[in-house]
Amino acid sequence: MGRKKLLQGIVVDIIKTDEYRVDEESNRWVKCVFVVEITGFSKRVREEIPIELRNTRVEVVRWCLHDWHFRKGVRITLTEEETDRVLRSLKS
Amino acid sequence: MDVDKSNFERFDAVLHLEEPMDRIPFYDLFADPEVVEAITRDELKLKYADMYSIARSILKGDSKYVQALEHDMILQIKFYTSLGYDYVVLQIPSPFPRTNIILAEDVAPLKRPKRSWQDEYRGVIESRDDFEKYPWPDLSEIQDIFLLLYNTMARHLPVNVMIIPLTPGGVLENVMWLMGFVPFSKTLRRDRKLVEDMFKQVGKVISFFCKISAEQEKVGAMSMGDDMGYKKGPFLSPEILRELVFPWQRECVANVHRYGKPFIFHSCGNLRIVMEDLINYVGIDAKHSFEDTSYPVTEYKELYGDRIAILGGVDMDKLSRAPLDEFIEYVKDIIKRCAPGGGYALGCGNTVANYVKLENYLAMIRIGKKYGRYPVKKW
Repeated sequence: MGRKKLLQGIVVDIIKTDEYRVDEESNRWVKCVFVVEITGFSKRVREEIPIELRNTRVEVVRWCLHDWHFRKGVRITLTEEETDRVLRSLKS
Repeated sequence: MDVDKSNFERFDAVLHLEEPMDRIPFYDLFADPEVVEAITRDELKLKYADMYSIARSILKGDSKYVQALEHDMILQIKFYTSLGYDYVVLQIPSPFPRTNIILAEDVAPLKRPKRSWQDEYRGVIESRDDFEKYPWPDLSEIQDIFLLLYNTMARHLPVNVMIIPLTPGGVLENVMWLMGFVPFSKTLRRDRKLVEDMFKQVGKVISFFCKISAEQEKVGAMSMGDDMGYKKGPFLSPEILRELVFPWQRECVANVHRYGKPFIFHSCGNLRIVMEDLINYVGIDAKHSFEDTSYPVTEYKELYGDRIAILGGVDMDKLSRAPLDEFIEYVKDIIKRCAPGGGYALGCGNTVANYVKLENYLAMIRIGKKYGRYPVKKW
């Protein structure tokens, strides 16, 4: 499998929006903004995150359905795109 | 990703403590042949055969089992992929022959002709003399047999699916099986050197299996089952485990990590007292085998889920006896408590044994695909 570098963090807040989508099974997925406190890279890469990223808060969008999707204080993995965005913002 | 389709990326994410892209993956150490047959509605032709001897005879040019082996491998692949597992288990046959087995009637719903049990009072190796006379396996033959089975399976493997080989028992298990638990315990006191030599012989073989498995391109991870305890704690004191068992298990893990692949450790028993050793010293990436009455999966997820993946944990008793409606709520509760944050795969507390209620087992899979969906990242 790949060696993609993914940032992880802890979900500190979840802001529900009014936007939603209905899937083919008629489930209503609510658009939410997750506030994430960055903790490090996932176990896939044994690399430390830049010090200035530690405890930084970023926002990512997640579409939620089940009750357990709204749990705070748990680990969350950013996508490759989101990871790149956060790392790029550091350089600029 | 299609939630019904197998894709090893899903399970690989869990082994690296990430959230899978779409849904919770499934993990089981293996499925009993009777379950494989019931789900695939086909017959495994070599289900009760000694696979080590069969592979050996094929390698010597005997072609009468080639088709049956091919057929069984295809059926195994069909079983795992049709249910949505992201891998197929390759059960490595044991190279350690033994006769200290007790046969008894099987009372499982999908029963087999006889259920075999370990005779704990009798070993095939109880003395130095037995040790010297025992037909210890030859590593080059082991490699040939493994490669025959691996290549047969790999030839039929669908795209995006990987193989997870399972060692033929673990380091401690094989020593205890060969010696019998009672003679083993006595020998620990009376002839420590013999026990150490047993671990050397067995450890060398099991770690070799780990190495040759991890080398293969289609192997996504390695698994080892090494039952080490009762409901209340390990069979042996932590000191003995640290001296005799963990160094060999560590060698097995190192042989897999060398190829950048994760190591899944299955062990029955309440191992809380040695979990730090298993994580920090042995170096396991995932723990499998849980039991609600003594070492529930939800508790292990909470305690160790930030460092290792937690796999399975749907209690065997509930899989076997719980009424369906109750069982559904129970599985949902496990997902609710273990899925957030990733690093968890749904599956049986032990194996897909022939005594579980198929109705419950299939419900678990169904719930996993539906209620185990992760938040969508991009619509």
